[in-house]
Amino acid sequence: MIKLDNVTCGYVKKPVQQGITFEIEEGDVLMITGPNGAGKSTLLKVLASILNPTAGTVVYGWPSAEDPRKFIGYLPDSLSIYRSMKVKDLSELHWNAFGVKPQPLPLLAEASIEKESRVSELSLGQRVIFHLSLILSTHPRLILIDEILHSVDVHLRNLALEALVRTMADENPTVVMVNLNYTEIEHLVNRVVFLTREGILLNETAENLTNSRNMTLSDILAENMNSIYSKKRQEVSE
Amino acid sequence: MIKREILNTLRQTALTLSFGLLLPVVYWINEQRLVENKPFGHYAEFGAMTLLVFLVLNLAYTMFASEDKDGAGEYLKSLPIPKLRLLCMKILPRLLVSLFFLFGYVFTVSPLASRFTTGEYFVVFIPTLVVMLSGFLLGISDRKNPFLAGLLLLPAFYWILSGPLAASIAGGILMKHTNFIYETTGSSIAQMRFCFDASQLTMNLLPTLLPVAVLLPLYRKWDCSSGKLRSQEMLKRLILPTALILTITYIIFNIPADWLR
Repeated sequence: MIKLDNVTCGYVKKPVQQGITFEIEEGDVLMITGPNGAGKSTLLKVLASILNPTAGTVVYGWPSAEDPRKFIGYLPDSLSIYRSMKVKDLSELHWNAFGVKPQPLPLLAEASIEKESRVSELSLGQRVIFHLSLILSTHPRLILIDEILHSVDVHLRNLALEALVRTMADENPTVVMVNLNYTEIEHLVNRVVFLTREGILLNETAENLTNSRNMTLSDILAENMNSIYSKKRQEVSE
Repeated sequence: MIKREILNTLRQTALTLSFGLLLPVVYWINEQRLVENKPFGHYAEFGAMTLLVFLVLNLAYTMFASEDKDGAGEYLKSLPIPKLRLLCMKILPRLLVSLFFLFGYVFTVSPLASRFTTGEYFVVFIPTLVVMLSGFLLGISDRKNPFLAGLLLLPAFYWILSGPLAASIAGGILMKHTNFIYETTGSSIAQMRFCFDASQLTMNLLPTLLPVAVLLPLYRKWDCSSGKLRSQEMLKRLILPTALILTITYIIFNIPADWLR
């Protein structure tokens, strides 16, 4: 279980989010959604242990003596990766850092990625697939994916989602995805956190949400988003 | 990761040292132009020294250049590499290459070669280490902040220019004031040794290492937050060590002559 307790975070002195508290159960597939600027990606960085919260704590459910990053696979929206390196060299670097043995990356062939190519020569979609392959090859207990799948074409996106589903079935990792496009991942998600600039608006299991409102998850989330923006419009016009 | 750092270091070194190819060209041009040109050895000595200073500074400054260029900072932070290991992986290849060329210069080209003693290894080692650590600290904050870069270079210059003088003045004053202790024991060599070590430590080594020592704890908190904010924090922490260095430098260059007698 991962527990965020009263977390305040941001990049500069002014925090993006304050006093965030919620828990993620082992094996949960959580979608964090909400309007732009709500701090979804920032929160994901805190979970990825690459941004220290300015207040509060994040407790992971694995041995605290270990570096949490060892068990985390993080795919950022900025697609931060050594672009000047060759695919095979970067794979080696990644495996060395995580202390795992070199292994075949079957997704690469499916996405027509040559091992001798430089990462900078790959298309955006291919880079996403390559980065995702690297992440999955370390068998993380927590997979964090930030929006990036939106910018990938349908074929590669399906490839990525299939790989993710396979990993979820085989290894039962906890998955946290930041997403604005609900329909594609709706069937994967079992919990939703709707984040606004004021904090958590909604933190509920997908089942409870759909049963209580008698609507699809996408419709519920779209409704929330619309109500936030119409409220904002009203505030501006007043 | 270490392989990548070694390759980057060698690439940067080759690039910097390739400027040495200009030396014969400059020599040849002057040979045609001047009536009495200096011998090539003079050009080699001066050129090598300039290139080596530039090499050390360049290796330190470009420590995180590939992360900046590739936009891989976030990726690097997401790798489970312990902070101390990352520090060593970044610094060691650059430090070793720098020392290899610097000692190579000292023992072959430099006129100091014949006078170099064991203790003087530190004369080269300490500023090189300080420059590398400064380059690392600059890399994890804001490489484009010239003010911070300048302040981080100050300790190395202090070690070379002001530190030895400050230490010898302090050593002299200390000798004068400890005379009464040693007069009774008659151990003047022990007295000299003590004064030399104490003044080297307090007036040379400590002011040189202090800026890096107060900044290194910030590396523990290194994360994805703003590098500019981190550089502001560094500047704040540098105020006192910099003031100390500047004060010592000011005093030793303005010390009344009768103090030294």
